[in-house]
Amino acid sequence: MGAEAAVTQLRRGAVEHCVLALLEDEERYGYDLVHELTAAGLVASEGTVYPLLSRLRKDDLVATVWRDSPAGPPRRYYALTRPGQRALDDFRVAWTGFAAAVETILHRKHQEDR
Amino acid sequence: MTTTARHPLVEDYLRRLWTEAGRLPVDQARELVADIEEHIATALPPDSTESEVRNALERLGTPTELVAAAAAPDQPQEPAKKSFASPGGAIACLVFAEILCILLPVSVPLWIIGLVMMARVTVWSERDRMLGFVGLGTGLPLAFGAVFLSTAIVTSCSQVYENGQLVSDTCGGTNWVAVTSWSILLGYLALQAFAIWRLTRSARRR
Repeated sequence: MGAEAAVTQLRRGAVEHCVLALLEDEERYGYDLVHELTAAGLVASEGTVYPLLSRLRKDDLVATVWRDSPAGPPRRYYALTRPGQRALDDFRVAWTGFAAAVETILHRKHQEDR
Repeated sequence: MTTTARHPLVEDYLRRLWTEAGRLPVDQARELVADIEEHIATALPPDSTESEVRNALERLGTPTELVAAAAAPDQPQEPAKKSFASPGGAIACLVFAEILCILLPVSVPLWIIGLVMMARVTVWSERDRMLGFVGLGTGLPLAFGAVFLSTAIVTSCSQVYENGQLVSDTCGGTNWVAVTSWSILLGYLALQAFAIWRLTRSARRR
């Protein structure tokens, strides 16, 4: 597996939890979420975020509500649900442990050399 | 969503998305298209330039990618799973059908497969597809017609000799039919070359 493919695999699992994290403090509308995730380099093509949001909603991890926008038609806003918050908390713990473990192994050689 | 006229490229993109989304459950397809429409309406103000439209659509990803992401959450979101209809396959089938036009048992099936692929390939815009049908889809019938016609012309001319003297010749002189048919043929071949170049280029770009 090439490095890029490996990162793609990792990214897939992480992105949906990043969406939950982005919604932790505030509601956001779809376009805004897509923008943040793309700017962070987490998604390759913007459009694929929408199927992901739709899945999160079906799994009851986020909820949607229509709100008037200052200009143009009403927008659909996404908000974190209680199960969503729990999933995010769990992922945070799991990710921190996982990232630390990977980090240790990846840089083992450098530390031995020193 | 929006009632203002949309850019033709956006219309074309949404049409391809609808076609691709046909393999999703209706509710899911409708939701995906509505989300993407809303995204485009937000991303592109009505006075966007063509290059802004192109950029925004490119960043969105191809309709095939989006539908793949919606259909198979656990599958890698690689662009486009290979379907039997490939752009190269469509072009190759139609070209070979034309070259082998006289061998009807081979050329007709090839031609039909080529046409079906041409209709199904999703990387092409509607304009490209029309070019494909007009430039390449007409290849077999026209080539077959041309072979038939040229045989008829050749056999219809006659030279009658009496005592070694040519007394009647319907083959000589400037044959305007031949000149016209050659010009049409060259023009048509140029159209075909253009169609192949254009279709290959748009298939590579996406």
